[in-house]
Amino acid sequence: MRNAIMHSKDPLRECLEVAYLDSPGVYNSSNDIPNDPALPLILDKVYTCAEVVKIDYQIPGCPPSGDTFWQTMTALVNGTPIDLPYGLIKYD
Amino acid sequence: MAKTKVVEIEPLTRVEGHGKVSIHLDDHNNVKEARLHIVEFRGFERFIKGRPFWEVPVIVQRLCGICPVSHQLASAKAMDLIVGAKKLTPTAEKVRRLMNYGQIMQSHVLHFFHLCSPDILFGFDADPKIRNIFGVIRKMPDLAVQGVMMRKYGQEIIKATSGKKIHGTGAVPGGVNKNVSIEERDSFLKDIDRMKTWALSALNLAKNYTLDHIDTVETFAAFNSSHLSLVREDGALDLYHGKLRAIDAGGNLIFDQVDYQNYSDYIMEEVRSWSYNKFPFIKSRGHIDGWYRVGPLSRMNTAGFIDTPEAQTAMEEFKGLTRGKPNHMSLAYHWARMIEVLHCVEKIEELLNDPDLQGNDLLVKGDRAEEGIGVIEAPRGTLFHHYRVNEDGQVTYCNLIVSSTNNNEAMNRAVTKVAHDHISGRPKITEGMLNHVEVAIRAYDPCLSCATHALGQMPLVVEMYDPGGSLLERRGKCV
Repeated sequence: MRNAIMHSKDPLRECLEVAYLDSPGVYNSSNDIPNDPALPLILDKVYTCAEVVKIDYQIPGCPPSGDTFWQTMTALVNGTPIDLPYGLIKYD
Repeated sequence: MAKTKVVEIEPLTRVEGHGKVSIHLDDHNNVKEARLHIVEFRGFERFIKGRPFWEVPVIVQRLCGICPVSHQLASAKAMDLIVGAKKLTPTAEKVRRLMNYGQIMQSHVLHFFHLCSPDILFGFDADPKIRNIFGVIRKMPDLAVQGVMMRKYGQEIIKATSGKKIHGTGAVPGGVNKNVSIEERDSFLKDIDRMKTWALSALNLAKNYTLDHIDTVETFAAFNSSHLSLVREDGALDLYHGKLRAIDAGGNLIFDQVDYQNYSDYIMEEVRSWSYNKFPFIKSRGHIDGWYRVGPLSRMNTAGFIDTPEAQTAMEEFKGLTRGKPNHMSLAYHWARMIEVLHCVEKIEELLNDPDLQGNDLLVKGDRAEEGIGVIEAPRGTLFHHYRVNEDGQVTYCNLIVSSTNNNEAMNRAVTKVAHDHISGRPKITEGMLNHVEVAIRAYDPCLSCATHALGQMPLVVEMYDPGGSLLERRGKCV
């Protein structure tokens, strides 16, 4: 759900305007949205981590359960395949 | 033109979420400027528009995995007003309160034992190979286990009241969807004495650290400020409900007993170009002087007393340090936080012994309203949720001022003061000096994931630029 803003049908611009320009409680003397070079640019869409960096193993879920971590780490330490039962990777 | 060097600390470690610090230095390493940048933008306020109002307490919890309960409860309080529930049933209010005390307990414990303890147990300049959670586990295994077990206790309380430990569904518009069973109650009562013993020992650790290092605590990232929080009508600390109170640096009231439905008459947010996080201020004092602090330290300053005996005794000792005047020391947040943990444990015990928790009268409804504002004291401070809902039950407006955003200016002041005091004019910048900056930010336990609706062991990179932005030097450090 992080950066879920990108799922909004409206263009990104409007989201930024709502947050930084148009809300009644906002005081903005420059009338600009934050744009300092120290800030990273907002991406055009949501990317999964694996699309951006190489990931060796992924555990799904927000957050994965303690048991899921335990089984994954144990398998890694023992050098055995990671085989998580359905109950540990099912989320609502 | 004189050259400016910029030292960047990124990523910040042992804080929740992402942020970076930039420190601008002149040729003699004098600090010209220091800033805490919040580098994410998430836009909850926009994409929540059009969603059915009853979905909101579940969606907005995704702001954060650390204090989802705070967002659940703040939005549920707002939605209570939308469904016309002006007063909840005793069972609903007490189940929600129990949930909130479980939340604040587990969040404070996570911060103190796992994020902050390496700094205070080993020292800000200690070898980073030891100054981490694994160092704590090696040196003080009992303490590390207490941290885990206390956090678990709070999380189990959340599960019993909200359905799940993270992102549950217990609070709904107009009340709650479950009570607490006799079996659940008894499983918590069984361990409550142990929790109180551990809360007292953590409190003593934080207090003794403060008193043993008072010369450091009195000056490190210490600066005068106003403070804001909810307080109960009689001025007591209340983490679930109350009226807004703000005091100035001398302890004089700026406003008091303000109904938070009118918060927008009192609070505004300034936008600055170098952070996605806004800077709230008290309207009547203007955008330059109106900034304030929130959270455990502020709550000790604004509240007159605590309505549980052991926490009250601890608060008196805390207030005694500054002879009843507001305490402005950033490092005193840790002591204040542990007083609150003790208060939460006492409150949890009080609630567990209340038969209302087993009541079956869970929901109230009345005349629908178009607008609702919910405010709560989250672990990190005062949290504002404001919604408007149309006739079809869809959200048409949402404004959130989250706890860490309220501390934005304060964290920037803390960074600037520490940079001046510990980095300025030194010939060589060390990892320990930069950790001082992080220690100052960590005192506020910021949750930068939350703050951007709208900061272990990690690589720390120092980059130095000339005024034209060209990279002069890049040093990677393994810490």
